[in-house]
Amino acid sequence: MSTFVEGVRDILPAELRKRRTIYQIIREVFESSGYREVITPTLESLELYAGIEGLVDKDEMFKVVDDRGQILVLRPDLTMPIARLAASRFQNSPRPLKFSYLSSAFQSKNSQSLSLKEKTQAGVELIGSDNLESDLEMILLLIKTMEKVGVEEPLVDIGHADLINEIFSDLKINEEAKKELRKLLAAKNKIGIKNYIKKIDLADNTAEILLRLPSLFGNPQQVIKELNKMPLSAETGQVLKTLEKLFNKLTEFDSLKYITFDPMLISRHGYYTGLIFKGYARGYSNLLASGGRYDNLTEKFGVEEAAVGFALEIENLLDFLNRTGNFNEDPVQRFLLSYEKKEDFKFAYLLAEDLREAGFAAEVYNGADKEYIDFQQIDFEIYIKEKCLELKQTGGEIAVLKRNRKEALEYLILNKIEEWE
Amino acid sequence: MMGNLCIAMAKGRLAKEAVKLFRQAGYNMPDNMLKSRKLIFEIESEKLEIILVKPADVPIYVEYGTADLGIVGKDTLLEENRDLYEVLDLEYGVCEFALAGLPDRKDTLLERKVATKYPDFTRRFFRSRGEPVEIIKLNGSIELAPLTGLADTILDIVETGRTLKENGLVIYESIRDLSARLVVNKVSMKTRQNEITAIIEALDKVVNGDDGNA
Repeated sequence: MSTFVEGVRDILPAELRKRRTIYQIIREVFESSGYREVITPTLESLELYAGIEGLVDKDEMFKVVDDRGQILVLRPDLTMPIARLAASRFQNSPRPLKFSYLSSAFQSKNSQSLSLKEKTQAGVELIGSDNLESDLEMILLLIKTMEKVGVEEPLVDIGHADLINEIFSDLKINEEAKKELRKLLAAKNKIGIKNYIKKIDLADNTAEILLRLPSLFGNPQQVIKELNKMPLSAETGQVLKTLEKLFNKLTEFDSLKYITFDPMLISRHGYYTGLIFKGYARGYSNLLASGGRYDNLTEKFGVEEAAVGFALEIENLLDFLNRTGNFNEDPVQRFLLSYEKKEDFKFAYLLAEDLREAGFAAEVYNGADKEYIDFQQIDFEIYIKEKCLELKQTGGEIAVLKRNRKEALEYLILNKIEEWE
Repeated sequence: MMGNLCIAMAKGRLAKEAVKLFRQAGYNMPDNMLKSRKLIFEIESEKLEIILVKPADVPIYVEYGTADLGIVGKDTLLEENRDLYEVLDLEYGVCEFALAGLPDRKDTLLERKVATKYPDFTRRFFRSRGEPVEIIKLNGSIELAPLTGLADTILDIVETGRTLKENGLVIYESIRDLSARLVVNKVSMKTRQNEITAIIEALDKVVNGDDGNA
């Protein structure tokens, strides 16, 4: 029998220690901005996710049948459950609603995120607010969160879901061609576009615009300038104006340096209706976060409401931080206490309690070898002798202290540990 | 964290052409590259790292971001169907996907049996036509399949058609043209835009001349 399930994994203490630090930072940033955390159920009804085009493919969801034959799914995303909450239990609550979450989502196929079927996402949702300031707040919050967890050079790539539609309607392109071109533009496949437009009837300047789009991305102001030069309609101009305003605001916050603009940024999540953005780190080739505006997501529940949010991909974030070594490591120092004489167990136990009280982690164990010390990630060992205490930093020197709990504790807190750090 | 840009090249003929192309574009490529058994080449003067991998692995290295760019045949891209930016047709390694078999193919009573090295592309191709087929995945010498009766049709890349001819096979139908492509990791494209755009433009110039954008 094989009890190994592919695509899921155990999270062991060493990793969890790092995760906890990240979780704590993220939660603090979210909560301090007014986004209170909710935990929604792991199981949701298939109905919730059915019929939302582009959200999650039906065959990519894990399905479970309950005892009444109802089909449930392991939640494939965390935005839908919050939209459900907003439209049901919080239907009459004051707006805007602000929620955050930190949970896992399940998808059976997943090309990103190291092929995990269960991945952790942390995110916020702002529901019932559709102004420029809320878009701005989301982007600033994403940058702040990434910086706080240790991403030194965060990047946010911004797009707009309406932009491609407006450009298509400007260019008078039919439905079938739109579908094909949308795919090609999303892949920045200039060759594909070149070949495809040979097959369909297009005005000359249309072809020119379509071929220009794949290489048009990067510096926000420059890209807007280039787009403005194209013969596009007032509606498209309107979308560009909105984005320009956002970029100007970001400049005011000295944050435009983190921003790139890609007019053809098309999200896998078809539910986005306006702003779309993705979070990256310079030098790392995986997605760290994605988000955007989804003003029609709650429509499904009979209420239409503006909403915007983002989610961080925790596994990718961990992978990135692990590569850069830039962890804001959990600062708790770990002690292992052992004793020479049997009757000193009590002394060891009480000293361990003192250390715990002072915010350290401490365990009493006499049989520890090097392997055990590594495995338990012990930072300091204290050996209790008849006349004195020996304090040893793992892999370091030994200091001899007086055999007195109070004095030893003071010494540990005030002197040696800080010095060693 | 910001190391040299990494380019994955498909080992073999395509890599040879790719190295030539980079040289024409003014990049300094080591002389021993294609004779050596090394798989990684650090080219400090160009701030590049080149890795040589199996053709089918190029899109994988690029999608995962281990390589920022890749050079690989369109046949492999179609089979692997990965989420990448496909930015340039390098116009070498030109060939086509075709259906071929024995000259006197009879309509089979049961499902048509198609032997191929490209099972995923073949599945999508026949599905889009609504034709049910049985796909047999082979790893080489596809031409043998109709000769031995393993399959009645093959879907394979055809360059000159000589191999088919020598084995007494004919092309039933050309499916699409193929050639080598430059692909880019979707995130690298944004996070290292300047460096990557410089490479795209330099190669574009060699392939398409100065009016590459027209």
